[in-house]
Amino acid sequence: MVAIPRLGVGIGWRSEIDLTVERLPQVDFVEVVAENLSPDRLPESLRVLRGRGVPVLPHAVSLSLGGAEPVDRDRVAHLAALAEALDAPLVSDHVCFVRAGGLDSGHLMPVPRTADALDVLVANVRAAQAELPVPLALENVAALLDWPDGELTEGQFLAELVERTDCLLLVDVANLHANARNINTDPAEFLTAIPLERLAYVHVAGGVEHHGVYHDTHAHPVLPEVLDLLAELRRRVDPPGVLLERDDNYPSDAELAAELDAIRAVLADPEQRR
Amino acid sequence: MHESWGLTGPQFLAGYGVALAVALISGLIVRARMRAAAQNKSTEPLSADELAYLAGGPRRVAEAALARLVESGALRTSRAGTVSVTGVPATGPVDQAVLADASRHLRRTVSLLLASVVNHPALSRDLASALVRRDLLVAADTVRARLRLAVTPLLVLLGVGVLRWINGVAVGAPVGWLTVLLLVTAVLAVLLRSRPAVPRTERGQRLLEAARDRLTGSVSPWHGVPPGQVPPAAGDLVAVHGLGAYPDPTVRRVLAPARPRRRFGSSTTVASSCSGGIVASGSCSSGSDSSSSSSSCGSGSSGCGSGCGGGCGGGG
Amino acid sequence: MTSSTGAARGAGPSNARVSNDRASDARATEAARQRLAAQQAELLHALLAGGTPPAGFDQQRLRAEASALLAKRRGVVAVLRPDLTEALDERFRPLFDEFAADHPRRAGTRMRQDAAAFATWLVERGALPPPRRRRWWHPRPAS
Repeated sequence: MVAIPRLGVGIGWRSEIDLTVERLPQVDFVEVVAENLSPDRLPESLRVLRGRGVPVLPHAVSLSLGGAEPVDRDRVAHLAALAEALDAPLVSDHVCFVRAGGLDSGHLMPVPRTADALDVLVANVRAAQAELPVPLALENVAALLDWPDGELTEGQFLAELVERTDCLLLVDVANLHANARNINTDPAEFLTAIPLERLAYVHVAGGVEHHGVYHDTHAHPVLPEVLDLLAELRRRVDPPGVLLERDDNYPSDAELAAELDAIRAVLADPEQRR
Repeated sequence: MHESWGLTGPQFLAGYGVALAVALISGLIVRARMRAAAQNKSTEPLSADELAYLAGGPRRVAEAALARLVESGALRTSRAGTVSVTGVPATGPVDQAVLADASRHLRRTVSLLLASVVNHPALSRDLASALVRRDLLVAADTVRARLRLAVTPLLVLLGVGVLRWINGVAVGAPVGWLTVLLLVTAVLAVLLRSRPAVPRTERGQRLLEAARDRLTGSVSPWHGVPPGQVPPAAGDLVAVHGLGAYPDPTVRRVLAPARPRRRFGSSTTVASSCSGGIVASGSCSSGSDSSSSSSSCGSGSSGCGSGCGGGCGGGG
Repeated sequence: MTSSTGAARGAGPSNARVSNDRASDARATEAARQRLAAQQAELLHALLAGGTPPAGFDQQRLRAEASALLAKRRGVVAVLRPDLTEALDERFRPLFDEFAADHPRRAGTRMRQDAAAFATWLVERGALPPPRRRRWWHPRPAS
């Protein structure tokens, strides 16, 4: 088993904030949305970052691994080519489905936590792994609704998935908060259930509560409750990496730097957030 | 030899030549005197926007505001040549006008932004009238009237010359030299009539040059900013020298991509790039003028407050 | 770096069962795919195309999810076609929502095509005059 690389603290690279990401102090690694890039035409900014030795991890959003249909080999091939082009230590996507019945939801939809869904997910993940040159990490998504008749908790479901595919985990603490808030899941139970030794890195993101529903917007500041969950996770494990995701409504460089500092502070001393 | 109007051809040409010289000199004097008038002796210092207007008109005002907004973090630049707002507010009517234009678009290219805001009254009309009131800029009406006056003798002379030319052609006299002189007169009239891009008064010119010396003088080409001295702000450097003088080399390439380097050339530019970055001295000299080598250093500069030292060495 | 998954998979205790009976496993997975496909299709049709809400779901949650998906799609189109948001202003949102209700995005269509389809629909519906030329352009291709 290859050791999971130490990544440090990073931020999601987006073309709108390319110079910002290059200039923020102490960015140890970045993540790129795989669907937005072409392996043979990498942006100058990513070449600059790679030249500095900053790892660039492709993060896919469209493999639809939790979908009923077999995984789209072209999409996996694109992710694989991107991983090669960026010399990435690992790649990731989500435990979700995007397309079904000829429709595209345009979003990461939760899968039912049933034996059927798990079997299909495992088959799809294995098919993707077979085509990928590097380990695949899978992320928990934020759900606004819950499937009925779930046979497992989300944590148990992911634990089964790891057991059967040996995939890595990408834990999004903002999504944990979203699910706790929106569909009453228990983040502590989740963190207890999943195999934390298979944690590749952690996502931290901002969101906003609207009419009693938490929206995982990636366009608002990170809530204190989300940092509390990061502290809760940190008390259990020293995560190899933590990455701040911001996808829209980008604040000033100073504000992004402050959010990264807040993450570092939690990692250095999780007890401060008790 | 024909003697139309009682003058031989050579005699007319000689007279025309003398008259041309006189008309030109008088025109130049009128043109120069338009800048002279100075009743207002206010010693109030120039604002950054006024300085930018004197240096390069509304376009320069927009460029300087852009530089200020980027430096303050109110605007973010990207390698694609776009700017976007960050939510940091701006002060002053000019900066607010530029920010307002930028905020109407998710991503605005620098060239479209500049082209759009130069017509905003805060950048053009308001500043121009303030400068006219302070006797630093010649009013547009005055410029028009004075230039018309300056060019009048040349036009009269040209009219006479044209009549002589028609007459010459009619009687079959040689008109070659006269033709040349007429063309010269026409060209001189166009030049004399041309409006200066920014019609500074002499006082405006002096203030601009003083500001230029002050800004450039505070930075030594080889040692950057002397210890204890504050580096000039990006907005001031750009106000006087244009976007090509933005201190940070990477941002400069985004903001002023295709511009050839101005006379504010290599050595001074090196100095300013260092000044913006409060850069460790060693990296400055090597940063020099090559865009590729300076880019890695640039990464340290804008965010210097928080994390300078390391940014440079490891870059590449 | 090479993947460790192959070796680890073979060593995993739960995977011994899988390799023992690959054929029946594949058949089981195929049956699971069909059941899952029906469930997921029913949910997406309810959320995106006004289909009957599937049993067992919280109706309020379904509505919240449907409007979140609609908002996301609307937001992407607004970013891709600022000319449309500018031309329609206040009408953009109701018109897009009307369009989306009748035109759920088909799997395999890109968001850019979706935005273009909305523009075409606007013209056909008379909400916008036919374009004389493309007024909107990207100065550089977005990466």
